[in-house]
Amino acid sequence: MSLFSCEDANRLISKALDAELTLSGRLLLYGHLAICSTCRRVRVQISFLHAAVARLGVQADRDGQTHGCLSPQARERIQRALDSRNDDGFRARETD
Amino acid sequence: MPNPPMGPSTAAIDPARWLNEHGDSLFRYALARVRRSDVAEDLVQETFLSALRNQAAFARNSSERTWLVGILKHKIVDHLRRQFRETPTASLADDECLKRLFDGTGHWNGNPAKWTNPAAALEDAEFWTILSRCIERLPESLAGVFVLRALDDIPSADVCAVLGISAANLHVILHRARLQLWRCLNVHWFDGTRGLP
Repeated sequence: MSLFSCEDANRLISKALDAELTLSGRLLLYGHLAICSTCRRVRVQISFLHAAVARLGVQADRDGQTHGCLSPQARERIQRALDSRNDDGFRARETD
Repeated sequence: MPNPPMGPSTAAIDPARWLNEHGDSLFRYALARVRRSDVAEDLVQETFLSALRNQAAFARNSSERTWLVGILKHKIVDHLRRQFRETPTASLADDECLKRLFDGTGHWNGNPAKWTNPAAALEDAEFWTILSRCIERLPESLAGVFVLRALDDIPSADVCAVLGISAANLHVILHRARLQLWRCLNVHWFDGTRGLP
């Protein structure tokens, strides 16, 4: 077994997505990738995943989705909270 | 869903319309990040109440939605910070997922499969549902950090500052979250036996 394992390489594959690797880190990682086709493949898959999750974050804000609506109960509760706060606001202004 | 009749409004800000116009959208935004609908509902409510108190701060040159999402983002970060503080860090010591993926010498346990046509997955609505479910299943100790960093693309240094964790911890958490997600997608999408987790 080598001193720098697939598990180690995987740690650096992930780290490279969040920070700049040190020179020795880069040498270790790319040295390993040069001889390990499995880690090369996983690296592409992890990068794909990283990009997909970022896109999901943008999509979550999109309208027109059928799933994930406020339940009627939650809607009612929030409306009540808004109404009561709104009244307070008006009262406060009237007594100013 | 039928919209209740509403009179035309020319006001830049109109709290009476907020729930109908922005409620579901804000809820989805929050749900994708906090993963619990009861918490997401509370955050939407807090956002509206906070917006109500701070109407004067609304900048006319931004849209009502952008302004509300901005407030919601702060509420979400506050929640994730609280949640992270309450999560026992001891759970970071051991990771069953990693143990299954690698053998004692750090080599792959079995050969990870090739993914067939990942680009096509991006066009498939079911893929996005499964990806969301896989994120929902991340353990609490990993989820908050992962959501801030990956879903919202907040720079690592900022995530560390906001959550009060070291860079080393951040890398450990993100590495584990990614591998769990990777494994989840392997099992529930790329293996050919597609189905919700």
